[in-house]
Amino acid sequence: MKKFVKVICAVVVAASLSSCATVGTNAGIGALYVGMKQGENVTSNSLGSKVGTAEAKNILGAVVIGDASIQAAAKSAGITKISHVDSEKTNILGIYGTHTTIVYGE
Amino acid sequence: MNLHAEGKLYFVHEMKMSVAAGEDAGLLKYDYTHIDSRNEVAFLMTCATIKPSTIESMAIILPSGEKHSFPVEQIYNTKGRKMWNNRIRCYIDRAIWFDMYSHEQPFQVELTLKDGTTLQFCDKPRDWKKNREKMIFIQELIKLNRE
Repeated sequence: MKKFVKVICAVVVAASLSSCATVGTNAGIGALYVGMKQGENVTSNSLGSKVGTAEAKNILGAVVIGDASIQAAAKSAGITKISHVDSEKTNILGIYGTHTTIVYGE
Repeated sequence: MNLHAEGKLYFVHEMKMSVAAGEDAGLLKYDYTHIDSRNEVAFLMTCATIKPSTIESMAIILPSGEKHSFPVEQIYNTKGRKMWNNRIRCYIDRAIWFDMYSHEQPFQVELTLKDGTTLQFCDKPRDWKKNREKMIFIQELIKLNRE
């Protein structure tokens, strides 16, 4: 029994330490590579001529940093009226991943 | 509802340009937004400086020596790790934007600050070759789609 508990604990620890910077997309998780753009939100405002971006990064699944909020993306381009929002996700071998929010508007 | 009444929108992700002249400045990061219905391209830039700066105007200096000046709109200044990031926007005529990438040599971007100092940025030869190829492709696509 003790041995069984030890094995279970070892599996749990190993699973929690096996960091993975995977990103989920509407088309699923790409285990080897992800390079995808997808729609997020739409408003009834016109397209506008401004585009703003904001990015967050994931390193080994151990460190996730950045501000990929819509507000940060809109602020980066001085957008006050949002038309729609896309996101772009990249990931390489689960080692390094990024999530970029792209805001269009005026 | 037609989201694209103003035509196609082209967004070129952020690129970087090295400092050519001027002190206390880091890289110039910039991106372009072009929308069919407007005869101009939005040139959004982040200029890193030692202290927060007010940037008043921008000039594009072509290899021929021709200089085009544009007013600049300051969006914000934020503190980075070591430098201040000054976010600015400028609108360039579409014809000038096309001309910028029609030369073998890179153009220079000159930013004039409120205190009168200037900062100049320019692509290194290796970066220029790569960026020019990418931009010519995008610009050709824009021209074909507009015909």
